[in-house]
Amino acid sequence: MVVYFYDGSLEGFFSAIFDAYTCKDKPDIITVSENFQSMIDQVSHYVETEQHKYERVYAGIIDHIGRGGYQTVKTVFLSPSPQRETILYHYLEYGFKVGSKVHVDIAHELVNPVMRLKRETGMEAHRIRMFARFSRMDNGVYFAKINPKCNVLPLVMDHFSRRFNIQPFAIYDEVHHLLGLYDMKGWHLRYVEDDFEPPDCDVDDVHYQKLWKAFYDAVSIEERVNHPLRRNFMPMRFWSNLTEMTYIDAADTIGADADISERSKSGSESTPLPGQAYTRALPLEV
Amino acid sequence: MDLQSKLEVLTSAAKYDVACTSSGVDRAAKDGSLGDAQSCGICHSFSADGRCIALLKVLMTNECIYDCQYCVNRASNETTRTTFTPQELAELTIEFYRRNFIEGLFLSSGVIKSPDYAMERMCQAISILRDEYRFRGYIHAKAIPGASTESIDRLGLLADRISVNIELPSQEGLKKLAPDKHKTSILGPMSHIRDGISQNKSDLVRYRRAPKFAPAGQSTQMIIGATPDSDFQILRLTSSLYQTYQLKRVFFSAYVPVSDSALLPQTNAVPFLREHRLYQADWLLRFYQFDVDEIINEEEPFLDPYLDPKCNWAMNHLDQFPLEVNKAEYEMLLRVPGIGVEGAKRIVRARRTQKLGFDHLKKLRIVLKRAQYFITCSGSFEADTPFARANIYEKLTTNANKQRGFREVMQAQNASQQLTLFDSSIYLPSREDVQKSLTGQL
Repeated sequence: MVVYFYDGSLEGFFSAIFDAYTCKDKPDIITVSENFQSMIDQVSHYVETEQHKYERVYAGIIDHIGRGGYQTVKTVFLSPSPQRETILYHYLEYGFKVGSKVHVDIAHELVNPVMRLKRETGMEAHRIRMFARFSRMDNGVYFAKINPKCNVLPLVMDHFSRRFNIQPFAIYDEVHHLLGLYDMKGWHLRYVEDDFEPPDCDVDDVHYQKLWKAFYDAVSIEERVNHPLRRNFMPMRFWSNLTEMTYIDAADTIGADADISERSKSGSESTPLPGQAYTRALPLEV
Repeated sequence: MDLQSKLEVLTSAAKYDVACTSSGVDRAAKDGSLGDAQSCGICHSFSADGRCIALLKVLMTNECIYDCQYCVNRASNETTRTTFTPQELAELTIEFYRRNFIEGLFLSSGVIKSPDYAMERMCQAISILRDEYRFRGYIHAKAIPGASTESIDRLGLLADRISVNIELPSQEGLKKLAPDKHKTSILGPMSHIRDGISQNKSDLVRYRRAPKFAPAGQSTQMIIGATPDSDFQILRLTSSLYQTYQLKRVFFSAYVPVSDSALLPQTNAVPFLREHRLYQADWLLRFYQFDVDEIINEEEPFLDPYLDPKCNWAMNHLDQFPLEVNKAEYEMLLRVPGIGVEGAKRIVRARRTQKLGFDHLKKLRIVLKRAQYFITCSGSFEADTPFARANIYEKLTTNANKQRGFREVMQAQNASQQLTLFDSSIYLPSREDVQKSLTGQL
């Protein structure tokens, strides 16, 4: 059993792919060291992240599988699946062999898992576009807290920075401890400490939260109430960050906030997820 | 009245309007302006009834000079009346939008003073949004029946989508329940909007910068179950609206009792299942290349509550099944119950490189629950019952009672049985009874 360990970045992963083609031992598993249980017959290989390696692999993907293929890899890389690197490795191996046919071959056993993860991650990104809720801070910055399963912040920043280009905003992913910042010129991402505390919203904002809640309650038709249907479309795991589902009353907001941050803390105890590369300048960014 | 109470009143008054879609137009963001619009549309929340909330759906005012019996805002109804100022409404929209609560505004209005006056107020609010706030999000506006062509033109240049509600699918229904509206006051604006859109399209070809007229098209809505109109009439009308008026959507709204007028059916049962079946039929018309005559005919003017319209068609055309998924045309794949547009496309794409088996279909996320009775993969038929009409019918209908709305139909029947002298223990509802209860006649 040959296991490749890499640093968790996209560059590191591409370097691992490079090694897979140049070393004599092909990997059975590619993974980040922290979350891997070692095995008895394990042969470990530690991947050095090097520019000439990842640039070569990047160029290879563009040449053989195309930009669409690169986008697919980038998206799937944000998935929380522990097998994502290995799945992507097999996909790339197959893609290098057959070329753009890989986009058609969606029922193939090596391609299908990638399509599944891509759909999952894409869906999660869309849900954040739907369910991110901003509130205005004292300093005029709009702030949103999100808790996606996949590390989708890099996929949604373009959307929000185009749409809200007239207001500075910040989006905090409390699961992956990633903060997306937009300063009306451009956006960037950075990792933050586990105990990062978002600022308080301003008084005016409470007023609009209250109005939104009033609208939300008034628009529902009593005779048609259908809770399972609502949960289907709007899974409960998002409710802790939805203004309309958490807002109680102006007087109680302080208590409600405390309750939510309590919950988010217990959720943040999981191991820090890989994907640290996004803090670095990405030479591969297109 | 404070803003919150106003918002509550004018939201409750608007909630029976079904349309809340934000789709149909792509407007890229622009530096220095708030918002954009995406043709796929984005929902932002879901209310307790499970309906999506994409737009701030409110009335400009709930004051109304019309007295339509099915409407909560009818003149004769004693209810709190209030009106937004255009500035108030524009500000509220902007503030909600900035917080990612909504995709934009859905604005309708009661007929205050006259149709044109009401339209003028709506236009004021929207033009504050568009001109002062330079808002690029989505706006859906209702054109008011009886409004002049000038005010419709103005609204069309401001809004992305316009709709005129038909509300009742027949002239008799209108005469009885909405004496202030008639066919021409609804269809007139509709054809005017259609002509405006097509004129605008040719203008855009000639002058790239021509202002856009209702770029997301027009839609309408019909109330189901307030009048005795049959599904046949409703679907015929729907299909002709798509063809003659080039509508983007026809919405159906199961009648929720809001009035005790003697002219309306006195029942508490809301015909959810009927609404659901009509939507299924509507989807067949819009996405599945079905013709209205294939879905329903005059002899059986109501859709089958036990079987969805696509299954129903397939059961009546069993000679064309089972279908070999590796060979069938895309158009025929679309007609297999359980296979949707996405699924059919995926099959066509995947079978280019390899022969598909049932395992592959599962990987392609084709739901085989219903499809299994109608397809073969490389010649093998793997359904849990032989390919025979009676067997398939039984399999397809056993799960029907899990369908939402079906229980209500059965309850309505049970209730009606208690009033009759039939022995209810052996009484099985006939299809006609089910239909009657669906239409609210029971």
